[in-house]
Amino acid sequence: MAIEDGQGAREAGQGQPAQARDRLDPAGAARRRFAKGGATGVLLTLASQPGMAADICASPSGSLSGGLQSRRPRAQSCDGRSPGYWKSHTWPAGISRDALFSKVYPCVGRNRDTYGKVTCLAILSHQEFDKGNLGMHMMAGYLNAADGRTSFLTAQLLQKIWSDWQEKGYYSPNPNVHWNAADIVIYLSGTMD
Amino acid sequence: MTEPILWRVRPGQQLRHWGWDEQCVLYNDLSGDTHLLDEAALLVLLTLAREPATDAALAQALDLEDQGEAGAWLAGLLDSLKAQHLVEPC
Repeated sequence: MAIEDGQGAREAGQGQPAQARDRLDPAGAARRRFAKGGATGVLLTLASQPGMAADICASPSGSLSGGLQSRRPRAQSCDGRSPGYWKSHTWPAGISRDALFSKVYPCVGRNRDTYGKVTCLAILSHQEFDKGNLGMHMMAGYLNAADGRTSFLTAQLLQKIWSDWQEKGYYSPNPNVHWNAADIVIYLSGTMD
Repeated sequence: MTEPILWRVRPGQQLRHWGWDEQCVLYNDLSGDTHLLDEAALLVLLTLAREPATDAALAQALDLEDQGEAGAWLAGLLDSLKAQHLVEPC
C-alpha cells in the first residue's frame, strides 16, 4: 500500500476500487465506524524527540472507550521512571516498599504463591516466576501513576490490565488486539525512561 | 451565544498516512511525531483538508448526528487533534 497524502486523497475517490473509495469517501464511513462503537480517534503517538526511544504517551486505546469525556484534552505528563529507578528513589506517599505486591495487584490462582508472596520492592528486581518481568514493570507503572508521572495511565487502568492478564492471559486495548505479558511489558517500557 | 468554531487542518500538514484495515499511521509535519489513528479520525482530517468546517458541518459531512454521544465524540476528537497540532480553529 502506498503512502498517501491529503492532496492525493482529495484527488482520489472516483474510479477507485470499492474498498478504496469507501475509505476515501468519509460520508457514511465515520458513522458506521462510530456506530460500531470502535471509534476512538488518536490511538497513540510516537513522539519524535532527539535522544529518546519511542515514547508512548497514551493509554492503551481500548481504555478510551470507557467514556467519551476521556477524549477531552488535559495537561499530560509523560515522565515515567524505570523499575531500577524506583529501587533507589523515594516512593510516592501511601505506598510501602514492604507491602505485598498483592496489595496493589490482587493475586489469584497460581499467582497467590508467586506474585502474592513478594513485596512491592522485591518485585522490582527480577524474580524467577516473573517471566518477562511483567510484575516488575507493572509495579514501576503503578509507582509512576501514583507519582503523577503518567497522566494517561492511571492506577485503575493498570489494575485492570493486571486483572485481565491474570484472568485471561491477555489484555485487550481494543476489541481486535490481545496483548500477552510480553506485549504489556513493551507498552509499559515505552512509558518509562 | 458563542459562534461555532470553524476548524481547518493546520497549514503545513500534508497528512501523509499509511493505512491498513481500520487504522493508519500519520506523519505530523509540524511536530515530527507519528500518530496511530483509527479510520474515523483520518476521515475527519481528510474532510477538513477539503475545506474548513464547523462541528455541525463536519458531522453532516460525516453523516453523524451533531448532538448527543456522536457530537460529544466529535468535539472530543477535534480537541484531541488540536492538541496534536493537526487542526486548529480559523
